[in-house]
Amino acid sequence: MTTSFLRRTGLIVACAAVLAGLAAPSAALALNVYAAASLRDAFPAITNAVRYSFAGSNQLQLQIEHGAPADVFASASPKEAQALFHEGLCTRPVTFATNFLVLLVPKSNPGHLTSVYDLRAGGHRLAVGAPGVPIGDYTRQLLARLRLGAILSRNTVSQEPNVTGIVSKVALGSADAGFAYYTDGRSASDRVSSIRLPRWAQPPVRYQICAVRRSGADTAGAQNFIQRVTTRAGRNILKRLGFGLPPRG
Amino acid sequence: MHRLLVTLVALAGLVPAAAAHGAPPAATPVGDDVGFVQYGAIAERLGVAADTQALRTPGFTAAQRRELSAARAAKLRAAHRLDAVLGADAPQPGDFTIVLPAAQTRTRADVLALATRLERLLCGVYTSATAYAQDPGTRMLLARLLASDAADLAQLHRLAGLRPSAGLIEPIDVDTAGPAIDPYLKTPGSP
Repeated sequence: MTTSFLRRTGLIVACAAVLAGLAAPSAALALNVYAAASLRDAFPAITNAVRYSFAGSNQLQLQIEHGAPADVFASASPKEAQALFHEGLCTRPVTFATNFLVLLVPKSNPGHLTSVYDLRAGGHRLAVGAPGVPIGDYTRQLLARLRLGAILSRNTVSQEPNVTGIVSKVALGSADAGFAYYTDGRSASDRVSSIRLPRWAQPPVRYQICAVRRSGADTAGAQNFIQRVTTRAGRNILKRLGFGLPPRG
Repeated sequence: MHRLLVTLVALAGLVPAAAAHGAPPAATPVGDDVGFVQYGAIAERLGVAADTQALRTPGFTAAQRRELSAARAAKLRAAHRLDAVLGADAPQPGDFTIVLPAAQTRTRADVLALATRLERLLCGVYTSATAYAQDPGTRMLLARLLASDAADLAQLHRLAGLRPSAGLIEPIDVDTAGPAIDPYLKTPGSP
């Protein structure tokens, strides 16, 4: 009986060890989602059961091109996701959300800014995305459409590698204003105010998502994640957080 | 009316004169020139929406409806020409929707007043572009569109029983014209 008990106990321990052994690598192999910094609130609200890396889309694209262990890539403009697709590094990207630009100012508004046209006078500290970063490219596109390209030389401009840097600079008062996405202004509304920018000049901000193609990628997990983002529940969360939604189909 | 026509003929005359010196330069906006092109691409679409609304409104004769249809078709062609200049940055279906308030389009007079206001803004921006756009090809394209839209404006004045404005429309910067068209645009997802 004692022997039988020991055998049974041993079997249970062995099984537990095997299960633990299976569980440990699966935790280590959690799905890696590389996503644009402006999705840092939205994606964890959709699921927390994956590992996220949030940064500028262009940086993430570069990391994936250099073999980073990403399974999913979500970019703030089609350029980066489409580039990976054309390089054979991800599946055909789908547009899953839209956004638009606002001008953020600190709650105290030390620059006394009420309109983007106030920046024409110069002398303000401005945080903008660096060229090549989606928010930086969208900002330059918007300013050219407004015929305000010169404000980047009339004000003291800090070039940020992603939208998080812009929001931080404005929230901390290190910048009098910064160009960011509407959803960023919403999520930091306790520290910053958003000034609307003309609709006619807004560049179309489209987010795209794809499953990364690499040896060892969790393709099924990636497709499952993309489905969560693009189906009704995911879209509802995105909408609640202020994103626009492309037509389904 | 005559002064306006003379101006338009003179303006249109510039185009063949330039073409005689060689192929007209392609529009390749430089720097902030794109602001004029973008404004035009959006405002021409607004004009199409206003003409469409006019065609749904009672009170126009068959001949007037034909004129409005022709003007609408010309505006759509203009929008496509501007889209071609904007390339990948051109407005796509779904980027925004045009909403003309019912209160401004109830009667023939309402819809003509709205269409006239939009057309005057567009002509003003094109006039500004002919003076301030840096790229000669962009200036040339927008001058051609100004000629066409100024004719549409004269037509709208005639339909409304007004005297067409004399001479060329005063230039209007996009700073002024942009906020005037913004209320008619809705961005998906925008609160």
